[in-house]
Amino acid sequence: MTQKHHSVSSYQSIINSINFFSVASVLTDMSGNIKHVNKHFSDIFQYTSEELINQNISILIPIALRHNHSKHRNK
Amino acid sequence: MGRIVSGLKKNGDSLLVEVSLELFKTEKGDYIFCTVNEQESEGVTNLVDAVCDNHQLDQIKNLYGDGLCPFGLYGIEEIDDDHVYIISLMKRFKDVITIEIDKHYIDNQFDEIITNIALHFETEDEFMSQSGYSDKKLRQHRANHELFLANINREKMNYETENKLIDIHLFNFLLESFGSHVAEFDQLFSVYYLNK
Repeated sequence: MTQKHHSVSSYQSIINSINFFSVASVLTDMSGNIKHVNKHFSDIFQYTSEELINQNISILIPIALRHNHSKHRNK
Repeated sequence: MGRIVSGLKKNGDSLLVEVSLELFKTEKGDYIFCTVNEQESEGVTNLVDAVCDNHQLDQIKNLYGDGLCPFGLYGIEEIDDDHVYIISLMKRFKDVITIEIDKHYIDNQFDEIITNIALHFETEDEFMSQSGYSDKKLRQHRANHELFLANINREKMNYETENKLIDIHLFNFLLESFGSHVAEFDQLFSVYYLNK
């Protein structure tokens, strides 16, 4: 998994970019709460963007793996 | 390349996706940007290759320790260890059929994989039975084991009848059959076992 650190970016410019991306994309805060998704992301997981916004990303992780995923994200 | 992880659709169906993460600092705080690529069924070969590169095989469990789930590893040591071993045999066999022309040697290598898969199925059935897995799901799981072995043996017999060398087509059939079984039936059991 790649994790890159960037200089300070405009929040709105990231949102605008996500909407134009041709791959499924999601933006979360550092706690895993979903702040924005594009249409491709909604299509894969079959949720509308309204259903996903402010939900935790863990709802998209199989139940058996949620605990480990949470531990990993908090590292 | 990102990491292969399991995902869950709204309707409860599981899927495999490759995710890549980036951290962004903005005027509103820090955010994680994640891209997701769904893995198609024909990508099973790539998934297995991704987790069993010769140089990476020893690191699979370390990867799993990250908390994300590579293909075939569901957090049940007794089953995960077998999957790692079988995948390593398959990886080796793929190299064998690329360079080897001795039919007897190739057949032996192939039979070793099938024998190990059959033994793994027996171990898995016993483990599931002892864990209290429901009779209905256990029967379905066993039936899929039997179907898997029957299909592989039938394909192998076709090669024997025509006196053909085992090739990449039979290898891919084996790999995709095993991958489908693991991704569907073993994952289903892991959800039960880890939450009971």
